[in-house]
Amino acid sequence: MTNGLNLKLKIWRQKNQSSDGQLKDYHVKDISPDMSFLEMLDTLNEELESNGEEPVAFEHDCREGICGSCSMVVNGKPHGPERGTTVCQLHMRRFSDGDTLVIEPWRAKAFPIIKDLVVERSAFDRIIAAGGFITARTGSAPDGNAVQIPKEHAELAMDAAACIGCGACVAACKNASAMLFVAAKVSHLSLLPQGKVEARKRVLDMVKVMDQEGFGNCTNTQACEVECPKEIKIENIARLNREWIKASAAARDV
Amino acid sequence: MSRLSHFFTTSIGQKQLMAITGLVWVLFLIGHLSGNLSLLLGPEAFNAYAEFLSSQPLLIPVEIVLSIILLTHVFLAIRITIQNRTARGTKYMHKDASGANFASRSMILTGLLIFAFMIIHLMNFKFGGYEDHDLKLYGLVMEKFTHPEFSLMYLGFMLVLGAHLVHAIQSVFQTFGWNHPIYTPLIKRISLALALILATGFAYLPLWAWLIKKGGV
Repeated sequence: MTNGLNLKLKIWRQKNQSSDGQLKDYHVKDISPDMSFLEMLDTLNEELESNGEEPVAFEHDCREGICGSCSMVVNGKPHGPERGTTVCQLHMRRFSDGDTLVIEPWRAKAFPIIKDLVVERSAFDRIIAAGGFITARTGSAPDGNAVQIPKEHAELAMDAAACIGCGACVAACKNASAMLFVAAKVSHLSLLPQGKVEARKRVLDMVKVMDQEGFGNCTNTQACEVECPKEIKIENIARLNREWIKASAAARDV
Repeated sequence: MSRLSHFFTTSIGQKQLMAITGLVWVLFLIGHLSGNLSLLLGPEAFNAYAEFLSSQPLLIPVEIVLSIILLTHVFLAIRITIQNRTARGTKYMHKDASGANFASRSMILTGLLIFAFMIIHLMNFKFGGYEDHDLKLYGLVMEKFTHPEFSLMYLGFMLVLGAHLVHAIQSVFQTFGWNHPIYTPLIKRISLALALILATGFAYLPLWAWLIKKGGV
């Protein structure tokens, strides 16, 4: 009655940040096609633990594609072969019996590997922190319709705000550039009236920190858009370029 | 001054400089091809065009400015490539191109090949001693292109040029921040067409001289 998958896994094992890593071969048997990719790894880890071996470290939290924790490159594609999907929402039915899967962490200097498939993504947090705050009145609720937002702007801002900060754009980019991430964050605020007040300072500061963190330069290859689990478009990168040019030209303290 | 350094040192600033300097050279190519097509009209027309260009008083200043722009483009390209390689750190054991096409992934390679070609090209024609030729520059061009290996080398380099331009031209618009659901697909088509016209246009001249005119006048 079993129609489970038998797979060969080549997983990146690295003890800690300072040690060297390498791909190690594993076999998993009788994997249900209904399992998620992470459940497949859970199965492997249970087996490893029962054999007294070190389980494969990988990040996960919500497992429903919204937290941005899971992060691994499967056969050369961040979050695996399915478009618009995080690896936790990728199901094993996407693979065939006998497949070999190469599983690696995000690779970027700005995302050092902590262990196995887990990378340090606090560079993103520092970019967000550099973006600062928006001026919004807190306390009592604002009057309904007091701040008018065109529907188109609201939708574009929402599309950009869908970014979960997972870092797949950096992983996919041949230059390890974080432009799509920064573009999404800059876009979702600069499109809305609440974010306009600090727009110039925000874009200059965020790009500055992005560069300092050691991400690469965008060369418009569009790989990020292809791999983004939230399908953020490079139209946002154009908006980031636009906002940056405007801010650079107008800033008085550069 | 600090504003200027801002453009040289930040990632987006470098992009802008790459786009502007590249764009100048795309315009140069359009002008160069338009002028070179006078080769098809025969020795009088082509030599007259060459004479007209070389007698311009602004020729030397323009050449210097174009060279500075080109060297800026090449310098930034090399620096950006080094920065980008460093940003990756450890390479992937297995990496898919994730939809990025060959042209966009190989800009540094095609770019450096074009730079090498430009030196070869200048050595052969601009500094190729055409003044001593019976038919001046026209004669030199026709003579060089009758050598199959010379013509084939030009064809190869024009293929490289085409690949560079396919990504380059449409990329300029994205870098300047012009991306629009309606115009961008159009820009990409026009960019492809312009790249094809430039590459095939330049490639046609050696073919014409070699196979149709067979080096004759």
